[in-house]
Amino acid sequence: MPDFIQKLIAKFANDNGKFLFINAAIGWFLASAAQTFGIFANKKIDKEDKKFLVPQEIFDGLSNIGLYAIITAPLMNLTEKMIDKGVISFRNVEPGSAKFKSLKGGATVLASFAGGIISTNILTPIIRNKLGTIAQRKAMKQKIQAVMPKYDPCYQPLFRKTAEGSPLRMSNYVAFAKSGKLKV
Amino acid sequence: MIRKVESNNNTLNFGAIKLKPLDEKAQNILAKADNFSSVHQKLILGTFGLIAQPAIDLANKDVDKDTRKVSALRSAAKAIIGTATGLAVRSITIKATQLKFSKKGSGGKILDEQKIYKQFKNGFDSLRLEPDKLSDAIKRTPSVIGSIMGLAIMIFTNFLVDAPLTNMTMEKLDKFMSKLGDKEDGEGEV
Repeated sequence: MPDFIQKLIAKFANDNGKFLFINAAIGWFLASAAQTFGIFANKKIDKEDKKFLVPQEIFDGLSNIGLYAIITAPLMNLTEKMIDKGVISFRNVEPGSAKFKSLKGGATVLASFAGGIISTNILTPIIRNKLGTIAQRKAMKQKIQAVMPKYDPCYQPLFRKTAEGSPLRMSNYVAFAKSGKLKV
Repeated sequence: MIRKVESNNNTLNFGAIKLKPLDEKAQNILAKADNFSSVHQKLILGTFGLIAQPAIDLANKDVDKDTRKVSALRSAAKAIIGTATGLAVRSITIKATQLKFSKKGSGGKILDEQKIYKQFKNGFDSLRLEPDKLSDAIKRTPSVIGSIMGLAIMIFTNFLVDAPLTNMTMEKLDKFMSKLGDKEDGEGEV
């Protein structure tokens, strides 16, 4: 077996917490890619729902992996440091012994699980919904703009176009009528 | 009168804070956790995901009621199918690897540590582990290999199994929820 594979497997087997951390990140990337493809290819899902679900799924995948790394890696490091510095200690276990190292490894694994739960199960859905909503609103705005009739200078006075949203005032109309642009 | 608080040099010293030492019960949990595999990981995160994610989607007031429902159903379906296939694939690949590295006739229950060590000798030697740590690492090796194999298989199952099954489960959940809704509406009628 190639040397680098032997070293990689041995390293992962020795540091279970780190391995599970990397394993989950790769797993989520693959799952997210598949789910996005699944929604995109599903003919039964309404086009309007897809406009929300596809960006939601992409944001889900990106924020899942990003947040997982941002939260879990420091949480695992903090747990290890707290054990090394003696903040967390184990009754009747000598620091530096094999049992101590095993307990430290277990604490790191649990920290990686806690980081996974906080990031992917709580924070990601909240952020992904917020971002998905923005994407949906943008899509809706584009749709409304596409349906809106285009400005036609023959029928719509220019002052209405420039003063969008302002009330139609007599003074504006009189100024427009005097300008010679009014077509009857 | 405002008094100046005397600074304590130990306040920012991380090592000065000491929590109560963990007892044997907690130690047992940590010792087990050190040998947790990706199956345990998937089970724990998947179960929390099934509870938390649809609840968060349902509480999203920024979208209309129908989108909220579709979103929550999708999260629930994803959690159910993702966890189920993830568990199935990983369990199979880890079991298969354990069988490959176990003593003959033990049915995968007794690992052949020598066989594993010989196979990955260069890797383990490079780490220079103490005997106990080396033994732990050797015991975890089949689970590591099985998990990596599981990831490779899941490239295909994600597309071929997860995605269509998630859509199917979503539709079933939608029908189930609609039936529940009809029943609740019917109960309220006089």
